[in-house]
Amino acid sequence: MGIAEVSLLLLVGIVVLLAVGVPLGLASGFLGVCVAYWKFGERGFFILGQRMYDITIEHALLAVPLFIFMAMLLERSNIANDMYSALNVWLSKTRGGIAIVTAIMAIIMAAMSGIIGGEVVLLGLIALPQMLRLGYDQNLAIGTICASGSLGTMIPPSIVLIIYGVVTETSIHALFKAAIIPGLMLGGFYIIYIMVRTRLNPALAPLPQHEREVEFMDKIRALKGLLPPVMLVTAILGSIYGGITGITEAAAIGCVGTLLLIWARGEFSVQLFLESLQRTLRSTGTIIWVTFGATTLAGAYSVAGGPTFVANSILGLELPAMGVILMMMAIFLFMGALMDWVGIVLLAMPVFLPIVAKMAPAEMGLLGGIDPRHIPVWFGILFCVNMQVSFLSPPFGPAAFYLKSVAPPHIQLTDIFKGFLPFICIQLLVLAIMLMFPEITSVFLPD
Amino acid sequence: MEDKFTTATYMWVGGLTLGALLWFVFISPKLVPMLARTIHQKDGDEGYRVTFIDRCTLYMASILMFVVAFIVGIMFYEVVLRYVFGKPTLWVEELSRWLGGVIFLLAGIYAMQQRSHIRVVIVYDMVSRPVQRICDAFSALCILIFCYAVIVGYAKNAWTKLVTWELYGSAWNPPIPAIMKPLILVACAWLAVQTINNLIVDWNRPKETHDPTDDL
Repeated sequence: MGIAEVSLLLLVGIVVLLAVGVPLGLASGFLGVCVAYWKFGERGFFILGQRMYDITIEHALLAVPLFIFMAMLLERSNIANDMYSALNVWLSKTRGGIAIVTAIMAIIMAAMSGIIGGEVVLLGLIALPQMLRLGYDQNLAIGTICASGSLGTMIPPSIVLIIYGVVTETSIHALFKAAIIPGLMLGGFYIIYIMVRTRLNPALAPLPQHEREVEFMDKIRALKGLLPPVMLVTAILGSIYGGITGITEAAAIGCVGTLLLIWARGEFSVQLFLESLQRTLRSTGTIIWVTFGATTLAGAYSVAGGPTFVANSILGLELPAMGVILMMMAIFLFMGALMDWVGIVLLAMPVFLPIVAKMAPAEMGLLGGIDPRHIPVWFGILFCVNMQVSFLSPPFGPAAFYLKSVAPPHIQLTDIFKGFLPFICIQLLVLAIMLMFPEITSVFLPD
Repeated sequence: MEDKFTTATYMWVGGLTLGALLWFVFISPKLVPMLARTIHQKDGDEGYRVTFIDRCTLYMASILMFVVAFIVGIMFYEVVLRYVFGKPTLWVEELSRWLGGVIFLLAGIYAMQQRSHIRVVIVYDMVSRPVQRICDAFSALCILIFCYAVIVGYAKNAWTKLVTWELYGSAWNPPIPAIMKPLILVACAWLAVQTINNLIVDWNRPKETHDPTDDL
């Protein structure tokens, strides 16, 4: 049996194991054991532990529990509610104002935390009831909440980019710099879409009636609610982009800042603190053990010559560079519809990235290609946009389920997915733009 | 190897052990009810039966959860020292790396106790309960084989690092390889035990469907 058959068996194996309900990380770990045994017998098992050890002492990964901790704390405070009221004072008289408020709020929250879930749930609790009460179109309301709530992993800091950076040995700093424009572009497009759509068809977003005129001084006073989030974003992103601290330390600063804000607002309680820690521990164990399992599989598969084999067979097809990349995007979208992003990064990247790196940089994009050193960064951003789609795509788009857990009972899952359609189109549009103009990601990168 | 341990080392080890014991006696019992509550658990559901092994895992988690907060604390301390006082420390970066590894390894066991490891449950939720039991058993077998292979493959290397007390080779020089490599084996063995425990506990539970929000 050669590496070709083994590769095929692995593909079948992972599908079967997952279908049976084996946890993703341990399923890939088990397959890693099989590959190691096939190639080297029991001697091959050494690679498993060694790969786990490398992950264990990886300092950049420490940012994952810290960002999760911060998100768990934020979820339990009223900082988000206050931000919502503040933005509302400014925009409630605008057509589609509350949807725009939701999107802006999601962008600011995305710059504080790096995970999705909490954001969608929060927006679902705060903004959805009000939009429905005012008679907003249900699809528009749902789509806005879930699409913009998913931006948490697109706009830095982002856990997806951290794990991608660790797995592919790409600078997380560079990834964070490159993700700014695509992230804001995505958020901006959502807002533009809302504005255009509600102006073309005002029935989608009725203006609030019988509300007193908001005085200018009220608007100024309302800005107070924006202060805490803006302070947190400045502290975290400022220390990262300003080169003051690394990513991990910035996450720690974010945690301390959030705790201080919560304490200053009088919301701190032992219960809140303990629950946040418990959930952080659980989520960390979940994410990191997928990483452990996948790294053992990737390790065993690499020493067995797998990635070289796959790379050679794809390069042997003599497809144009963009053809191969488009194929990979299709694979990401397909996998993303069925499985969690952590698994995709860990299983697909060790195979895909070397292939992309071997192709001619001049052929990437529409005009003039990309600096070869920036290819891993660009590919990471492409992946990140793909995962934005995966959060919304049926049948398992997690954003839909997060929203379902807090939406009024008459809103069915199918209704929710229906609301996603225009937003998925916007995401694909951004993906296409990123594919055509890789230069967008290198704007802030050093030459 | 004996001469590598100074009196200070013994005092640290003794102090930490004593602290952990006191923690287990006075604090852990208060945290266990909160820690045992899983995300799958709805209000009014009595939850999973907590066995002795679950209790060990939960006691471990009752210390581990505070390690996250501790890391936040020392990292902030380092940033303040570096920028306000201009005196960076040698130990914070390495201690956080070390403790981070401990969290990564052991949190997986807690996640296992909580049944929160990421699974795809499309097919699993459709089949009948007896078939699910077969799936569970098969799943446990895969996990056991994985744990066995890691332990067998890494035991020799880890044991060597432990008895030679290999240090990290940096200025502060903590014994990261000497502790972390054996800890990988401990974590895998513990995970295997927890898996068997889960299999037994879940065997007689009625059929339940999963909700993707559980992974939140």
